[in-house]
Amino acid sequence: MNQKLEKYFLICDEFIYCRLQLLNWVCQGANQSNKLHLATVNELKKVYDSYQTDKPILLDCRRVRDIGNNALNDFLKNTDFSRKIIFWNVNHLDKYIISPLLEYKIEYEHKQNSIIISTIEKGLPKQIEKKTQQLEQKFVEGKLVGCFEPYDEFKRLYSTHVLANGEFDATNLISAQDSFAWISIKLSDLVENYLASIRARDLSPDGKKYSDEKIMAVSFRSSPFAVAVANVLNKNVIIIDHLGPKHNEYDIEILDFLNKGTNIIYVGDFLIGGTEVFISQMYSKMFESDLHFAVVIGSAQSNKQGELCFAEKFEFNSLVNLKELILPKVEKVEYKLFDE
Amino acid sequence: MNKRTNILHITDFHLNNFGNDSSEYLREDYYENYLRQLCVLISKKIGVIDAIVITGDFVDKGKTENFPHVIEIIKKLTLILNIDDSNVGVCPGNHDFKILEEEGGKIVKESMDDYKSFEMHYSKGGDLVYCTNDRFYITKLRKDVYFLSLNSCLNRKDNKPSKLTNKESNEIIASLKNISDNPETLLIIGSHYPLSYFDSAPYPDIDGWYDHHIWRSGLILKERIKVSLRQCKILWLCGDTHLPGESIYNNQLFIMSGRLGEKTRFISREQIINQFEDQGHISLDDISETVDKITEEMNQEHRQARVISYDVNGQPEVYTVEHSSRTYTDHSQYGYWRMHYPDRFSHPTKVAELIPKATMDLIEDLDVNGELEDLIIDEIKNNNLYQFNRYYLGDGKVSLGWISINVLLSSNNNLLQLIIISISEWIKSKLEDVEYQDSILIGIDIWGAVIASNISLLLDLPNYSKAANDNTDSYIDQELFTHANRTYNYFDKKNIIYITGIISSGSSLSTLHNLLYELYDKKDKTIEKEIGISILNDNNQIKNNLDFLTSFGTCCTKVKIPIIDEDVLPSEDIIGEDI
Repeated sequence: MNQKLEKYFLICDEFIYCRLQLLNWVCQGANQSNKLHLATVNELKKVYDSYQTDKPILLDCRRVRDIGNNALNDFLKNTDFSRKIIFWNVNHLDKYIISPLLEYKIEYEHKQNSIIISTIEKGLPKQIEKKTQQLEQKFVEGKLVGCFEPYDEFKRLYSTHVLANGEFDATNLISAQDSFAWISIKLSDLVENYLASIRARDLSPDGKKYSDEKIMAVSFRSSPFAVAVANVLNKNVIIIDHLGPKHNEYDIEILDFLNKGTNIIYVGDFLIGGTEVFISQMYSKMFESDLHFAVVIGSAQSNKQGELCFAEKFEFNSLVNLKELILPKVEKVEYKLFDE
Repeated sequence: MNKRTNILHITDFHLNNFGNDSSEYLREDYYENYLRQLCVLISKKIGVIDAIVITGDFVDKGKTENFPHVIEIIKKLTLILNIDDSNVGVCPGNHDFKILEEEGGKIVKESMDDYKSFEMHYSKGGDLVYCTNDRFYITKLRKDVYFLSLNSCLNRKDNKPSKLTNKESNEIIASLKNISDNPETLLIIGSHYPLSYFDSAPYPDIDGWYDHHIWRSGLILKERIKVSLRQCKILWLCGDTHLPGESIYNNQLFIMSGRLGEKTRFISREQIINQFEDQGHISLDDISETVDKITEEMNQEHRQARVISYDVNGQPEVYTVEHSSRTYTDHSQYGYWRMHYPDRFSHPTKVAELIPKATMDLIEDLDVNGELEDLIIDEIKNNNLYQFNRYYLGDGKVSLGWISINVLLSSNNNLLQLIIISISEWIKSKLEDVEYQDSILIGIDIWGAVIASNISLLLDLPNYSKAANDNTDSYIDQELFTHANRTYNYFDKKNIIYITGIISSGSSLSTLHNLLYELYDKKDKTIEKEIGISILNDNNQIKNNLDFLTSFGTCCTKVKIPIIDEDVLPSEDIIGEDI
């Protein structure tokens, strides 16, 4: 039987793991991803019944805030739980899960923001945070290694001023469902962490109060990720259709929809020289908004600060430091300017 | 058109010996009988003929002294069919020029003068001539019926079709502006030499047959006319090969007809083998079957007249009327005309199916009311997204409307999700009868890629994102064939689903289709089903050869986006850039 969700589960010795939000997205659509519907539960049931049967299922419920129409009830009622299932990071979701568990008299344990359901043994895996992070990181790094195209000699990267011994092709990351979904979710985490940090300080990095927050992308291959992040986090997105292979001069009017004083968060695929971020920063300035923060899938910069020759500095975060990856043929990616 | 429009096509009289000692079908004592039988059959079975087009080789081997007889023959035809000479369009064939100088079987110098006098008897000599020179002329044969006469033999060398220069091609295209490009109009193009390869052409090539009979440099006109005239029906008529052939390409129908005149010729199997041996490029052992086939084919008389009959909706039927004899050696008077069941052709004016709003329960959570199309219209209206101005599309075309798909889809997350879910459900319904997993989504440009990547998750199908820029074909090439080596493997799926924001002329989609077709061919794979999806589509605009799509769906057809020729707009010098 073809199981739609299997490919999204990450596997270690102790458990199989996925984000519930990711599964919701796959089954219900991106901006329904923070609510669990029956469509997801039905697919989840197939995984529970047959996929990697001897391992517990660990579901990280981060950013899932609701369960629609008692969607979990039938699953809870009709499952014997000889296989352990752990809802982790349940936050506000606990009441939706515990209520039917009590109704159907199902054994469970509720601790450390988790609900563990099993008829055999309870308990959380040790170092759950660290292990899941390692799984996610390993998965993303593996996908980046897989999309690397080594060159026989240094060549200019398309639309940059940089020579490289190979190229990371984001088309591959978008093409495969698992890499696209996981990378989008991971980018969303970085944006969410940034927003949480500025909210904790109650202001933006430059001390301004912003009226709005928007995600921005300027390249063709960044756009699917940027729109996904915007939908997952329920933010609006601005795509500047003006860079990369397709030039569309009429669509700069998208910036008319930018309110003054918007905090722009750039989402991109790869940050090598930083040109796209700087151009986004320039467009933001033109419309009296600011871009202080960028997230990218991979970066060749390691200091988390854009310090090249344009405009203002910006802070950035990336899922992977490209220079640390062990790559086929070339071993390490290298970048240099023309005159080096 | 208020009724059917019937065009009679005849060709290749090859009048050599008009005398009664001849066995030619158009000889003095037989042609009346021969043509009367033909016309009676046509009138009885089809009805009134509106125009006649004759595509050259009126006389044989430069015997231009026979033109008065040819005029007599055509007169008989027009009298029986009750047609005026001005409703007759002609173009010259390679036999119609007086040979002035010949060297070793090759014509060195020839004269068009006699032909030029001859053609003035017909539409070219009438009042409705738009442009004229030795290469071409345009006339109006009847209301809504135009005739472009092409001289594919002008300045020919080595007995091969002549070279059409860029300048001549430009002149022809510019002159076509005299024709109103609307669905009512029929443009007939007469060319003695065919410019397409038809299935009936001999294979393998014998004695450079292709070089001598296909007007390769004229092929450019096919493409340019396709772009210049999108709305009207175009009918290409040609002769020369004495073989029948038919093909349809977008709004252009190509008909090649067999000869009308000349005596019966029989070519023996031995003569054909000798031809092969003389060329020395094929071993006799390998071609036995081929020789049989060619012998049979070359001895088919294909003595024909064709009637191309357009119905009120502009869809053509092609009637073939063929003269048959009992044996190859029968005298012509024992033969008879018979009419074949008509071939029907459909001009592909691709109309997109409207994608309905999805029925999934999740829609309730999206907080959207109304049908998908209405929601899109509301969004366009509320955000003032329709801009009326001139937007250059390339190919000499201008779109008078522009809607920013970028703003439309960025401005409302729920609308984007509704579109994604609705398209997903529609695709599922279109893939019901095929192996579902053997499919790939191709997202074209930014929003096509965004939608395809999301549908990819919902439908569990791979997707490929692709930038379409008509001006950088080499980039498209590079991306598909070399740059994306790792995604190369995706392209063995049988079903391809293209997703794009808006289709204006359809050229991006057809370019991509052609590239994929080539790629699949290289991999010895075939594409079984191609589905096209757009957010917006104006069904009034004829699309650029999208007949390869098995299904074509759109979320919104109500927004009209007129596309017109750049030339018909007033200059920017006069009214400024903004209209």
